[in-house]
Amino acid sequence: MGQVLVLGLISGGIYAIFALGVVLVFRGTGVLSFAQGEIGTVALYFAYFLVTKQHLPWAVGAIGAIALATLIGAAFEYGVVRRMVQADPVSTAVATVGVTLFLLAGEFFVFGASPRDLPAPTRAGVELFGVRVTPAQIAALLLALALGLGLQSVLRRTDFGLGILAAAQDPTAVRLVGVPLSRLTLTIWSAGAALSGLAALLVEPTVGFITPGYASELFIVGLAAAVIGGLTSLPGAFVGGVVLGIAEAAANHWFGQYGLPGLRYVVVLVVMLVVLLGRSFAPDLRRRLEQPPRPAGVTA
Amino acid sequence: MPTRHRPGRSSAVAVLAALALSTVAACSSAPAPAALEQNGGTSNGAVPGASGAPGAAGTTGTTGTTGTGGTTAAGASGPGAGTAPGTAGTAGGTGSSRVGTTGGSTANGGSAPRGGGGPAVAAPRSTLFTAAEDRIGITPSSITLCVHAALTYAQAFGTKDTDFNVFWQALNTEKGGILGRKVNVTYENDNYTPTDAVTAATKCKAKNPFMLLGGIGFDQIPAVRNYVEQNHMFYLHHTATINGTAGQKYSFTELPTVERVGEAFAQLAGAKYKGAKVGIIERDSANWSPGVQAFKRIAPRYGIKVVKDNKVAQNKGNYTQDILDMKSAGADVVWIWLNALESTQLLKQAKAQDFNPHWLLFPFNLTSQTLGSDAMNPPLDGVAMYPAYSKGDYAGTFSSYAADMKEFEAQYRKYDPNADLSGIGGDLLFLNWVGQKALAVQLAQCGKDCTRNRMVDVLESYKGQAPSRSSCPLDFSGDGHRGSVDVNFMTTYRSPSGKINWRNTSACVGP
Repeated sequence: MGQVLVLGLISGGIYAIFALGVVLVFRGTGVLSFAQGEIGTVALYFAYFLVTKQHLPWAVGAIGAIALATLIGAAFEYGVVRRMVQADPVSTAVATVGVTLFLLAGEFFVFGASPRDLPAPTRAGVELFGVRVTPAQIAALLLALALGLGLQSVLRRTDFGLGILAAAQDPTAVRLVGVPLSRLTLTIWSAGAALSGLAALLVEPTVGFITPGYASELFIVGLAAAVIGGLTSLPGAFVGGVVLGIAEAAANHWFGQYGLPGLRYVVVLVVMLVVLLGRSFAPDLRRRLEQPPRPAGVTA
Repeated sequence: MPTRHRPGRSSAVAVLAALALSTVAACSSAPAPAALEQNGGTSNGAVPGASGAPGAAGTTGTTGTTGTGGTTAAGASGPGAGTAPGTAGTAGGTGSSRVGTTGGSTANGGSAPRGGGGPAVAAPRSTLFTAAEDRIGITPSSITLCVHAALTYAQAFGTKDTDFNVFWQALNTEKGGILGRKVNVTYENDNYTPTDAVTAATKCKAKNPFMLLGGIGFDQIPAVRNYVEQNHMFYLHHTATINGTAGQKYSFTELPTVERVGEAFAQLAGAKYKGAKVGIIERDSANWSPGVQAFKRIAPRYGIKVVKDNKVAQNKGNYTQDILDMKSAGADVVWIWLNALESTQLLKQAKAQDFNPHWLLFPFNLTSQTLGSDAMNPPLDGVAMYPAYSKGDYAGTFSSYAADMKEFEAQYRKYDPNADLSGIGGDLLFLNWVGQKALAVQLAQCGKDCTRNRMVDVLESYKGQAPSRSSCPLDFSGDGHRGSVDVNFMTTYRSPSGKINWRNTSACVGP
């Protein structure tokens, strides 16, 4: 059980960071961004280029990767989102799919389909319940928690954060009261993209190699975590990520050896269904429970 | 002629070449393409202009007595090679009694694998293809071949479609093809899936190929075997399970079966790690599991004990739980029965878990180069149906087929200079090239009057000979459809270029 918990927390931390990016963008702009995963993959390729090809220190590669991810987010906001300010959020969401495909094609074009290995920053690690846990994995979990709480706090307690929330609800009103809307959305898209780069960096050394579309597979689970967390709650995204991570680890522990295909996605689907159905039935159930008992002898 | 070696004996006489994308079992020192343009002694479809080495002639005396082989002037020789008409086989060649029987009445028989020349055009022994089917895809000026291959998967090895045609390109350009026939080879992507493989085979059928070739893919081939059975296509395929082949007539392979490869992994484990506790991480597929069953069946014979066996879905991605299972089961050898990409990913995750048992897997430079020095701690062990390749290293176990490596490199320098032979796909290109070369030899052996039935005769006439002097022997005397049981054992090493590649430790290992 301890092993399941450790493995679940490791995966959950990664999913949570992806989920935080999704929630941040959704909360700030009302747009569901599907580009988060591929932005992470591109960032990872850049880190690989800096570390493996340019022989720069891992930390430099990591900073470069996050910087590039931020830049891509900013470029997308400037080049696309800003020009779709009057458009429906669904249209902007579709545009993020376009970005995903564009980035994917770019990855194939520049790096090909061969797997690339970005070495882990360190070989160090501690053993917990038989699982070797690396510093990157611990960092992922702690960062996810800190970012979930920190960003939530920023959004609720600072003028800037409140401006973001207000902008998501009524951009015109926000602009009329003098809040620099473009700067707000630029920040949101950039921060969301930076989170993707960060998540991809933290997961790669342990899960495998970089291939085109690599982080998008993880992003799908991150997206599910965001949905489980309610799509607007940053701490909820963290919880969603951890829940999915643990559920996946448990399923893998008990059923993984039987070779069930797509086990990860089955788990995601089941957990999402349970949470969403539970959420939709909960108010009704609560109402029924809170209803005073019908007096005896009274009929409808 | 190489001899068969038992596990543990270090020999690198020759390698059984398998092919990745074009399928024939191959072999290293197949005759130079020069041999393929000769036209002596072809009237009966025998190998033209063999190099005079009468091969292992005489080993089957019954042939000699039955046929007239060995006394005809043209082309008595081992399978292929050379340019000069061979000296007459002195003892009737290695043709089997079957060859001899027919040959005796038709001035055929004689040299291996199919008799020497003779004045008359012998009727093919095989009647597999009807008269209408027999000449499909072959004309006096061309041979059409079609390959179903995992072209998408091959891209992961840093290769392109065009990289796989260099041998034929060189042959057509420099030698005018085979006996004056240009070889036209086209590829259809099977996407590494059975459904797409059948689609690819269907597309191939529309091109009316002489042969359909099946590239790497345990899962695709059984589906295509069923298809060709219904459509009477001449199918030469890569390694696949023997299951489901009962009664099938149109499929042939010159590579060991999945079951045999599984056994070979047990042989390797037993030879190197006798008494070891072995864990298995296997693809959960009916097309893969016969290999594991074969492994387990003979494991006790080699003193090895299977302590854990995890089935995993294709492209599972996260193998951490499986790695921990192996660790907690105390496995000191782990056999990864997955494809190259999956194996590489699994190994990376195992390294992250600091789990370093002895690993057994399919040897590809993609894995060793991607893992780098991790692939040397400890060195990985592999069983392959193809020869090892490490660009520019002609020493040690490579020396027996260094001539082929040099020829391969020269052709790529000329026709495909951008292909990275020292990279992760170099060995894939080499094993493909070697397989193509062996097929070219056999097509030449089929002769000027080559038809599908004659080509079947050529294949089935191999009974212990190799398509070239340095290759592993083929033997179709079993069921006439499967020609090899030999594999190569390999290990990782640091090549002179500094890259971690694979090299043979034992070649042509039989059961």
